[in-house]
Amino acid sequence: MQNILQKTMRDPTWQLISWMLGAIFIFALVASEFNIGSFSSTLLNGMLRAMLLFLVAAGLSLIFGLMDILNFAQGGYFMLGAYLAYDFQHPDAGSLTFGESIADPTLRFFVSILFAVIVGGVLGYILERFFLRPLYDRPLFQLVLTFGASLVFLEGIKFIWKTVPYTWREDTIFQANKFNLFGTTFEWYRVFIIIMGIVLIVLISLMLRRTRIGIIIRAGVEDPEMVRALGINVRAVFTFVFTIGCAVAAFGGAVAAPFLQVHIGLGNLYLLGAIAVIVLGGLGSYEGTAVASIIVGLAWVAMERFSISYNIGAVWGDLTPMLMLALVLLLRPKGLFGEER
Amino acid sequence: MLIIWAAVGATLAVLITPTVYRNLNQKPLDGLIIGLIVGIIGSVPGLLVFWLLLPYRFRQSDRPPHPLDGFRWRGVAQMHSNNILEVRDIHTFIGQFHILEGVSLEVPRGSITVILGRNGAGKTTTLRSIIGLNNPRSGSIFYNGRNITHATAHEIAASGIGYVPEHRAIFKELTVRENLEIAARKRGDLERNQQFIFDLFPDLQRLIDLPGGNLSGGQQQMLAIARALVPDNDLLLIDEPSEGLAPVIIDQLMAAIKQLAKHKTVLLVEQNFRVASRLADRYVIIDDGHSVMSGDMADLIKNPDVIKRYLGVA
Ligand SMILES: Nc1ncnc2c1ncn2[C@@H]1O[C@H](COP(=O)(O)OP(=O)(O)O)[C@@H](O)[C@H]1O
Ligand SMILES: [Mg+2]
Repeated sequence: MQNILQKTMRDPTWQLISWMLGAIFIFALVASEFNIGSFSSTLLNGMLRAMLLFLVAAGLSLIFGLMDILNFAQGGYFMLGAYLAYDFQHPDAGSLTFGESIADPTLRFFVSILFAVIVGGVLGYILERFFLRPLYDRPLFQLVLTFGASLVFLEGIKFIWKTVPYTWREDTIFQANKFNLFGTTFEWYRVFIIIMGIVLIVLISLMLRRTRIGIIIRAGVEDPEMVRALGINVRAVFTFVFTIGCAVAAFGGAVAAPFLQVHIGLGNLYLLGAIAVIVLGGLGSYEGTAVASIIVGLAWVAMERFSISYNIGAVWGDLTPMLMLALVLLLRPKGLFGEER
Repeated sequence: MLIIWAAVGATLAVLITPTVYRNLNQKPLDGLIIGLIVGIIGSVPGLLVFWLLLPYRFRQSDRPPHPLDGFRWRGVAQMHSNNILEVRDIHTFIGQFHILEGVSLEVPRGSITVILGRNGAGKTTTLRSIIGLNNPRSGSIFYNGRNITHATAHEIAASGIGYVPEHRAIFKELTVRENLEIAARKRGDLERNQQFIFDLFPDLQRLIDLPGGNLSGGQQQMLAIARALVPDNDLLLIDEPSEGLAPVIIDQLMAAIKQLAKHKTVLLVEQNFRVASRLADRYVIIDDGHSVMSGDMADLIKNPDVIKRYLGVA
């Protein structure tokens, strides 16, 4: 144990990560004007943002590593998850009325998450199995296709839910229970999401390390052709990963719906954030994605705080992922954990 | 045909139902979902029939015997019973490049057959055609009497062929153990064969928890061969095992290949003629995408002109 710790501390990548996190903490302190309540709320919301980013980026990164497809539609799945969960939860808004039959809002909330995950997974399956699969010899077409799919998502959502943003109104037990942190009130729900995100990071990592499908995925990231030549149906693995990746993104959107404004910019916002994450983490590296999610999430929220405290305009917050992406590409193009490509 | 009908039916149902539904109570998404459900249910009968017929229509290679089989295949499918593999006049393209322009070869069961030829002659492409990573455009490949010409790589491998690619393409990020585990096709494959593998390559047992990338070149080559021995393969395709290795290591590898060839048939690509001549019983020479000669290794050794002409060594 101590050995691993020492090794980690001497590893230049982890040293760099510590420096970055330290810099972000200091920046967050400045951004919250050295107010401990505001600082802790920045950190908490930063971690929350980080987990949401991770839910989008995990699929994006695994899909890219395994199939060399940058799935531009990944943000669309996130956004769709948010809309579906919102709509299911509020029978009087949007288009879905099925939710009515479940009277208890908390139970209805669980069902809406499940509903969003299933729809996301099914749509992910359809996109990979019927549209991307015929194009594996033509990577450029696949890129164009996922971009097209992202537009279809956007237009479809505009058609069904119009362009007005939705704000969550329903109070489940998650929203009703709050706690106080240095003078600021938080819903327990946010803490719950952060814990769940961390659990998911660990679970996916265990899946990749310990299970057969995980070993196949890691091998496929390295050399999909050789995996085929061992007698494994790699296409089926692609479909599996793509489906799960989209379902997880939709899950992220669904759990985020209660505290995000559900609006049509959500997809692109989180897609760009996730792209920044996977480039910073190093393309195709799972631990890179997990660590980079936290870095980008914290920096993003700290910048939002900063722009409010010092009145420099709200755009800076949402620009942060892009700025970080540009910075990484300039300073360390292979990302934190990436191989030279 | 049936699947198309099922798809058309489902699509129509999906498209029409929301419109009808919307006129009833103005909720397009409810309508869409009901439409989807109607569509899925509507397409089930079509799909069911399709799946029932599928084995007869698509799974050419391992479909149940068909009354017309004998008629259609007689004289074509019959292999010399002694050959585990027969490649007949294959033409393989990579992109638009015509790489193999007529390669034929036979691999007798239990033999070590070596493919010889200059750099760029098409040896690797021949192995890749057999394992299905570059399916030939014409010609045919029979393995154990089955036509595998157009089968996918994973089907071909699963039918009992192990592939050891050139440049020691092991998974560098995976540990030695994981490299072996991933090759197992059935539960128990590794347990059953690991003693044989570790007897051949004792080093691997010691290195079992190290990432493949940390191994030396020779150890990586051993792992690549070991990986092909995990499932019960009958035929091994080994591409240039001696490439870039020190003579001592090459001798070790040769001994191991000789040893495993007591249980398996081996089709080997080998540039090093000294190695090839000591290992192989049979040879095939490929030159510029054509197979030009084949026969017993013993005869080739007596024929320095041929060796000089096609291999550039004396
Ligand atoms: N991906 C590719 N694209 C175009 N040409 C290729 C490709 N791979 C191999 N070739 C060409 O095919 C020929 C045969 O290659 P290969 O089978 O690897 O030869 P060998 O293994 O005998 O050295 C060579 O001339 C090589 O240049
Ligand atoms: Mg070669």
